[in-house]
Amino acid sequence: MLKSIALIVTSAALAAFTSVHAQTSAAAPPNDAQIAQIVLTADTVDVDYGKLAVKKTKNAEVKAFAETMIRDHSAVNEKAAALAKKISLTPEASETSKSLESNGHKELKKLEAMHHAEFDKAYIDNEVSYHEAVIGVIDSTLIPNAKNADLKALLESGKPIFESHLEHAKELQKSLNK
Amino acid sequence: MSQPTFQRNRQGVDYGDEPNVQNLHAAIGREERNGRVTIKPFSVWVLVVFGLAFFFAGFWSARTGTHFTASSVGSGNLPPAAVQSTSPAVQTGATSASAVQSTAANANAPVVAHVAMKNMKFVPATIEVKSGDTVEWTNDDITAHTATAIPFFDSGSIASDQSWRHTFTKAGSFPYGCTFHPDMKGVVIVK
Repeated sequence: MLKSIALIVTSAALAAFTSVHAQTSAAAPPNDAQIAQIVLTADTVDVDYGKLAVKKTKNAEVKAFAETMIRDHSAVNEKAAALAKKISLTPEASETSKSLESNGHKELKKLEAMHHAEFDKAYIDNEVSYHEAVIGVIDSTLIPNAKNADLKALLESGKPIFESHLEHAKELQKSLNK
Repeated sequence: MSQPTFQRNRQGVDYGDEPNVQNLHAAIGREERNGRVTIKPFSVWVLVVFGLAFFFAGFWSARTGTHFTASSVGSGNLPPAAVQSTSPAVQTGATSASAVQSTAANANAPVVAHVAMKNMKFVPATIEVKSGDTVEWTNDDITAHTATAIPFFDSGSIASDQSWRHTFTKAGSFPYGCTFHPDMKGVVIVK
């Protein structure tokens, strides 16, 4: 039962982000204003997952991870907002940012209904696939299309943060599956 | 009681109530060996002070001496960057002289070694210092980090663009990490 739910959650998340990925690749390349909004939305979605996890989990390691997600993605968002202001860029919604947001809400609803170990596992599984998807979008779409040098630099310094989170989540995934 | 106390205090040597003459002589001998603070012509202290003075004067002249070489007369007063761009020969001379100077200073004085927190890594990951040296961690990332090796040291949260220092007084190898990011690892080796 637990396994099957986790499997459904993981595959749903993967499907959602694969489609996000496919859309951004196929659609017109995002401009800087759209890239800024994609970064802000991607960070906000993960901060929301983290806030829910801090509230729900009883596992100290999962809680510490969720706190790091909140801390780091909030920091990236602050930096992105400050940069947008500095270069007079008004973040602009796009198909990518909209689907990130709606998929984020759906995932959050699913997680809200879960408890204890079931929640921990689903949350961490989602973090693994979410970070994989976001790193994919940063690499394939955001960095190549960013025109402003500061925005490109922000994306490039954001990438190792997401990669570190992915490694952290994978380690937790291993320990939760034991 | 007050009389012996007075005599004891005299010149700091305790022979006031000593009836034995031989002991008295021995006490006077002790006093002559190490009692008075005087500067004799070739005392060890004079030699040490003058020796050090000549030693550092040598370094000073070695460093400033490069300004008087034929190729550098025109640029002697320029800042190092200007000297570098106008005269590579002088730059080489100045660099080696200052390298000698810093090596001489490093041999005794405690130093501050620097570790950057950059792109979710400690750079350099392994740093070697002497006992008494300080390591300064500077966070070049957007996200906060820590430098933590419980129970030896724990920086707590270091925000973006902030630094934290720790002075190492015990030899050994101290593996540490970032509390927030378990894949960030480093080692401080204290000799």
